[in-house]
Amino acid sequence: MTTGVLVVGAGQSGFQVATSLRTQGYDGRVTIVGDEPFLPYQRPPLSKGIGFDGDGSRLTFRPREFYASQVIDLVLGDGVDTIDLDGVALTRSGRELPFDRLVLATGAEPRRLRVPGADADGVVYLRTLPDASTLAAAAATISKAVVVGAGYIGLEIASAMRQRGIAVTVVAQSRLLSRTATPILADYLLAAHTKRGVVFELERTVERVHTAKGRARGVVLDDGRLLDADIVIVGIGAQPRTELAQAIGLELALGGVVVDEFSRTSNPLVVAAGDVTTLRREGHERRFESVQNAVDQAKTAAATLLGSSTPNDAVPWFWSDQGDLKLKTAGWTGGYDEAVVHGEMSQDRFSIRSYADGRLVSVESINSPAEYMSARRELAATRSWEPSALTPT
Amino acid sequence: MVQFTCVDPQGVEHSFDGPEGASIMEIATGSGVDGIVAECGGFMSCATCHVYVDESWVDVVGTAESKEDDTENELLEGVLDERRRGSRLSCQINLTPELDGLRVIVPKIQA
Repeated sequence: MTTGVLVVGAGQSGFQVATSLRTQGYDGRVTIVGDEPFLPYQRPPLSKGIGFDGDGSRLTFRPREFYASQVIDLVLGDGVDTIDLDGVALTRSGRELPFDRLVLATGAEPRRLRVPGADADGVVYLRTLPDASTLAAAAATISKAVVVGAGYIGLEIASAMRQRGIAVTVVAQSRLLSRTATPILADYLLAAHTKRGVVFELERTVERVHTAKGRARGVVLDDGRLLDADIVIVGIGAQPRTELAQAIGLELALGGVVVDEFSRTSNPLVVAAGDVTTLRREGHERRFESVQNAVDQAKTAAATLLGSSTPNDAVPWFWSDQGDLKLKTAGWTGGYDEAVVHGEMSQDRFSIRSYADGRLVSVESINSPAEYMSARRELAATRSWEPSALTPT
Repeated sequence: MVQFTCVDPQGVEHSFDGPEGASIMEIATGSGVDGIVAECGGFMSCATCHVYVDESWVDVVGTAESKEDDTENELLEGVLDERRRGSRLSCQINLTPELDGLRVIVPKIQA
């Protein structure tokens, strides 16, 4: 490689690819280009406890001097507009960035609520530092919030708002954490959050956002009821940002850029990592939206660019802080046939171990870090959460 | 400023001056010390910033067992490298004037 590696995206995975290229010994040119004007930063704290005190600098992965010392060029506040696979990307401001290998780490963006009134002021999403500032400022003045969506983002924000004494109603079209968690965990969280004062409207959809003077004042549900609110927070999932991938003809599946266990895309010049990807392995496709996945795919992508052929075998894991409930999960909950609860649900301290054919495939733990850590080690040793192990023979 | 030293898995010593209140993890990762991963960013969710507090400093820093909240202690039970008396998550060690001169050793592997 001579003209170097261009990393498109300055989130968790983009940052990790660039730093891993250096730690793995690459001495060519490395450039990170990102839409946002900030140094690469951590996103998870943005939704936890409305966690951040407004000081975004505490969330940056590394100070600016680090990039200088590692000779990593940063092009920030200026996204890539077009990519010519002959080796040059053009940014919105007209900058030309040459490359001989490309990393797509464009991440995902919040799925938009598409109902009348959804573009009013006071309908907010949470993905970026400015989003979190908006939410933190609002949280200081409001008394009633509606949260649309009962995924991790929705539940984290709902519990953070509750802890500040704000009245919160969560509206969701199915159950809690319907894409990721076992029903046992979902039922527990429903009861636990209800006990802490969150109101749930499940198996309901939002018909429209109720507005007054161009500002959201609540939502109208599909049964016609109006829920008053000072703010409407939408957390209904994320959409991989695949515009560039599509423009250069990469294969997509489940909405994401298809990669294999070496983080390779359908084009040999291009690797991809993080929320933008869909992992295809042994014919099975899975999407993981997590810090762990972003980090491990990124390390693998860097290794692949440098000629290594070591597959990414990391155990998927995830955490979510919902008020006093610290959830940690590992493995894969799809396809289990038996689940066993260890510990005391009534005391908010337990683990759910799920099995397929008698083999452990996932753990979901609440306030039980030791149980979680030991199950994670077990999963790493047995690898029985992998698709090949789950396929009936 | 509080001075401390991190010994990385290759045995290389890195000396830092950090502001009071900052965590060892923040300062060390900010300078790219090898071996401190800190995947979760300092929220006691991953146990990938495990360090060994130098034996002579353990009583000054305090042990994970002695903390009222047991989360750190439980996470440390699951770390991949050996658990020792001085094992701590470096995101949970905040610099204070008493820690001036502190020395921590980074284990060979993280969780």
